[in-house]
Amino acid sequence: MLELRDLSVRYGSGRRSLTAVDRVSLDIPSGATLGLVGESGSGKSTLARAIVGLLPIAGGSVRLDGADHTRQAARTAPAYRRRVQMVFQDPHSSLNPRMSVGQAMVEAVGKREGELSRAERRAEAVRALESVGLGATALERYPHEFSGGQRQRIAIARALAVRPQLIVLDEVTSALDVSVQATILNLLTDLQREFGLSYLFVSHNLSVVSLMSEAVAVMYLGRIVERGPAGDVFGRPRHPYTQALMKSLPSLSSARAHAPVVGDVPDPRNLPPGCPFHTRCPVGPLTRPDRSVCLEQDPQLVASSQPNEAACHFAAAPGGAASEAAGAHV
Amino acid sequence: MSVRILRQVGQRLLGLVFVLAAVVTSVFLMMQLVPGDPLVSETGGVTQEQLDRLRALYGLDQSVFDQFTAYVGNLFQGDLGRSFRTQEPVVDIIQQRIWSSLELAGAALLIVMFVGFPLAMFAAAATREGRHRRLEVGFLSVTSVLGATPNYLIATLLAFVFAVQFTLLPVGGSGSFEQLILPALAVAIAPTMSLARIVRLETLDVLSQDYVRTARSQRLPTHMIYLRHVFPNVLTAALTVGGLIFAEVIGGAVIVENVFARPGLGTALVDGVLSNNYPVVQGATLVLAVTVVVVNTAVDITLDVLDPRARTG
Amino acid sequence: MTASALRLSRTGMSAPVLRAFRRAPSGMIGAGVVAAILVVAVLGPIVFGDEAQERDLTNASQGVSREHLLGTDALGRDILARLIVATRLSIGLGLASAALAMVAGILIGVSAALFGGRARVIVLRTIDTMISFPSILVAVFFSVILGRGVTGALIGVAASTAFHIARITSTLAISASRRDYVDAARVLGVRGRPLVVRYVLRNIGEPLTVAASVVVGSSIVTISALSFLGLGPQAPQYDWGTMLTEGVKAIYRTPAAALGPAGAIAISAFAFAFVGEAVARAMNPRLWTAPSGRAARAVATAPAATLVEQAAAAGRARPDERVEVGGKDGPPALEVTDLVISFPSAQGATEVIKGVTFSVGEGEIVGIVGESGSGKTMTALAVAQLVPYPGRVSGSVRLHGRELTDLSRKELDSLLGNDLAVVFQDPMASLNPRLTIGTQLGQAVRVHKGFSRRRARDLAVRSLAEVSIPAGETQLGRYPNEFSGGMRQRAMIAMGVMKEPSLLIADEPTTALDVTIQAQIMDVLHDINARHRTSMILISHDLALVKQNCHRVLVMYAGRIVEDLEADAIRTQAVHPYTKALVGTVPEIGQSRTGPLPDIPGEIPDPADPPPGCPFHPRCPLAVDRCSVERPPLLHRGGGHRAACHVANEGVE
Repeated sequence: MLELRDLSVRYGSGRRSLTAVDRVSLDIPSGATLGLVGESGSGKSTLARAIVGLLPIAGGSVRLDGADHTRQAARTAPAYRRRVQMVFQDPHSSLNPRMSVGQAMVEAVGKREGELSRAERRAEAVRALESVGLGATALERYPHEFSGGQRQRIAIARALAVRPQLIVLDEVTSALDVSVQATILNLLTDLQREFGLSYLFVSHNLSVVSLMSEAVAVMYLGRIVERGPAGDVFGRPRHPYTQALMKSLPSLSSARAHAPVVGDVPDPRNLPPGCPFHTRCPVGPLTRPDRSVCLEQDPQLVASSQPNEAACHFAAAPGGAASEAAGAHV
Repeated sequence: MSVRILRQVGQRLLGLVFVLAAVVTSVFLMMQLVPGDPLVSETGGVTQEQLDRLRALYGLDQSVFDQFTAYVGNLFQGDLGRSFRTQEPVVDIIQQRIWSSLELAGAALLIVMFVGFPLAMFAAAATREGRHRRLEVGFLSVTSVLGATPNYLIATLLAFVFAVQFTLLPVGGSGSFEQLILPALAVAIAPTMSLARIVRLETLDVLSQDYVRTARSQRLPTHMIYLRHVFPNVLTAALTVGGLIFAEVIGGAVIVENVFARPGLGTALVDGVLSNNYPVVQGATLVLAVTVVVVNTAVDITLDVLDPRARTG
Repeated sequence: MTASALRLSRTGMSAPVLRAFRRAPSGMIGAGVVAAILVVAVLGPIVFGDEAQERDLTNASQGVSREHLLGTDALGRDILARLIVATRLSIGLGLASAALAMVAGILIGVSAALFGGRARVIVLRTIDTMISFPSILVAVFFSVILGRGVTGALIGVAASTAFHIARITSTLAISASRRDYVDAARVLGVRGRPLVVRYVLRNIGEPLTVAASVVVGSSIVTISALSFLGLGPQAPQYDWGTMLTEGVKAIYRTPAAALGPAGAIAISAFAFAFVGEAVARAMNPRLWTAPSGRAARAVATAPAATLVEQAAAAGRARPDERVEVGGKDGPPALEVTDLVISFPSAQGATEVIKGVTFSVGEGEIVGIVGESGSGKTMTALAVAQLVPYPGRVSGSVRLHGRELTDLSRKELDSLLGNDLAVVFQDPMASLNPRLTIGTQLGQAVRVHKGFSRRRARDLAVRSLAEVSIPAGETQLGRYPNEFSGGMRQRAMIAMGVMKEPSLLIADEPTTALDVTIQAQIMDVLHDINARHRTSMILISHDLALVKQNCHRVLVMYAGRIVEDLEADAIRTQAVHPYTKALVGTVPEIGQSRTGPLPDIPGEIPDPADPPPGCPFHPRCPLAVDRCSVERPPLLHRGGGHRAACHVANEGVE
């Protein structure tokens, strides 16, 4: 439904510019969820903002149902905005504290296609609130009167009010308590089923992404390092970074493992040539000096017999870097 | 010193040049934009011929552009024109008076810094986290009342109390230390109150920072926490409003000089305006404006250099 | 319902604003004074105009008397009458100047926020330059080019003030436009005027209103200063400023001549300031839902002592909750008994920790898990004796047998400074950006152990190596902003470990860090625990992290411990319904979605208003009648396992 090809987003210009998103190609299927996973500095939030038109695109293309929307003017036009919406991370700052819930909802409904009378807009606002589990009593109240979870539901209702086809969910549960997260995730799943929505689910929380997504893409320093069906990416990861993520992730059913990766994420402004991960890769030139190709060539996503593609020079073999990583790691 | 810092300092200096040019142009235009003829009121009852001669003497018959180039040229040679009234070179007038103004502004600044700062930090320590609410209310009330009282009124009251009622201190004139006390106090009070309010808020902000919590968790002695962690950060924050405080002091000095009849730049300025002595007005305005701009740029550069982010390449 | 929503959207916010305004006494007084001033301004010249002009040279420069309440001026005119008549000009000029300044300033300031890049920088720099000039200088400049008199004074003061307003507006507008709700509105398609008005201006309205009222006051004052110098209204016009000039000349003989106009200036400035502040406060929606005056006062009148006693009684530890002294290997490093932390509130006192008892053994890593409002962070702060004012702590905290609450400030500093280390959540903010790493690392040992600088440095280098930061000597000279988040947190840990503490408390140490860095930090902590046998408390909301990294786990809910068990047993042997629900909400990767995720319905209780009996019962699937009446005690179930649940503890002694 939404196609990104070689998409790049840059901050600043000239020598001081930072390429936050580097030649990303993704497909967001209709009626399904694409999970976008990455840690801080991976560029996932930048990508999310570019998709909804808050940032300009420096290279590549964006196509919605085949129609090109690369120019920022195209992504800020009402036609696009009616189909692509966003829910933000922090429920405490994504709602205007000076507008009542009713005012915010009526404003959102008003952005829908077609002319609605004032009465109709009010009724639709109530309907949108009811679909997220809130009622008409919320209309006159102000955001500060609601809890974090409730505010997030209001934010979802507002995005829904426009009747979009795709909603970008940017870390929507990261600021919520664990017990509330599940409620919101269930709500999102129900809404997806009911309205046939597509989601781009952006999060640093791998477990949550694995529960919500059919397909997953893993980002590191602005690039996609692995993508494919969720079960394959998380169950049989082929890129060393994905493998490191899975190993670092605490779980209730296994014992602690030693940190698989050393060092910190390099400064995105001063990226070394070659693969962006080679400075920390447990099976890269740090531990295996013969793998000098990692220092010279930037790996592309490589297809193989497995459904998930990984951007690694040594992921081609079946089981790819996995078996080698298991062997190399003490 | 990193390249980034040098570039930033360079930018500031470039900005300074630009602003100085704008100031000079504005000051020059002052005389041009005056309603009517700048010479007329000064020389009431003169014949047309004498008027024309005066005009030629002051170069006011030339085109605006020529006058401007002449003005700038003269500036670079240290010539600020001549007083309409006494024909004295404006530069001399200013030189005679500048020391008195510097004295006054300097003394007031010292009071502002050495009274305002400690007072504010102490108030912040006492009212942090909501302690002593009544003290906070008192502090805010007193600072806002004193800060809003016109300095010419304070000046007059001070003169009334100390010079007339108690004949402790002299009123008027300049040169001696006793003559400096009352005017300096009058000038200093409002900026001290402004600075105190700002510094208290900044100190409260710093006290709520995580690194102060870290220092507390290490059980460092209180004086060490304040001197090493709190004070330097508050100082830099206060510097950012240093320019505004300086402007308040200069502005206050201009007015208070007139109250105490101190022969300074402020009285020169006002007397010049009241007697339409435009070259003097221009000269005084120029000196005051340039001082303010230069000091502000210096403060900006200091802040840039002190910024810890400046150390990285 | 919908009708009132309609009303609200039509009238905007006016109804609740008025109500909130009426509640503030200072605002009402100010409004009254302002109203009086405006009436005087309008009617003054009409009623007193003639009297103000009556000259009486035989009675010139007289002091206060019955016929002339403020005396007479040099021409025998009644000063009070003139003061009243002058109100119109002074207030009029002040208001006009303020209005001009506000409009111009807001336009300039908002434009700075709306522009981006170069244009914004230029506008901001121009504003900064303009406000660096003293107002009087700018005012004089305009007086000169516009001619001495009312116009010159008006424009002059407005010009100077406008840029100050622009500065405030630009700062506020820029920060407001950075908030998510502005982006959210943009994504919805809101643009142009509705975006600026509804999302930016409305959110900066409060401080701007205060600024506007201050501006009116300061404009009145500055214009009178200009008049005082002779640059304001010229004769025969007069305002308070020119009257003050005349009065000051006669101040030594007839002080009322100066005090009258001075008082008028001051009173008007304050009245406008009070009104402004009250209006600003009234505009804040948070105040619209506060309980009305009578209700709030009724709550507060219950004697505070009774409420505190009641709360204390409800939260007291029962005798059967004593923890067995002696951890795994010998006496415990830390023993906390019956810890209660309360904060004063409108209702008297709110307990955020309601009686917590636990211990940490030598070399043991204990995890404390909970959501917001559970009290886990406050517990840590209490152990470290860092509970913020005005919190009150009661109960016992023993570090290696020494009762911390018995110690003097000096003894406490010495003991905790040497024996306790705390690592906080946000490494970015926890280090002073202006001091080198070396200075900060060395502080504690130099103060508490009396180390010399050389010795402290050597120790710091060794500690940095222990946390995998090599080349310590060079690192010591660096500043925190040169380190990444992970490195900073490791430096914080090094800082704590340097003094060889027996207990290290880590409060959400990895929440702000990526999962790969988190694993590194956990490695560091385990290393220290193994090498130095340092006891640790790890606080987190992440149950899986705590399970993998701790020997034992305490689960907290609403200020109490609800379960205490071995970390490995969490998934299989937890008995408390909350613990089990938490376990259920932790998604396992690869676990297939066979239906809705298990969640916990309801909300976390408000510490000020907890449900009776068991705090979890409104959300608990196992709740029975007893749960809503009687609070379940934390009972020992054998093997160090404690749980506080009536249903789960059936049959337990």
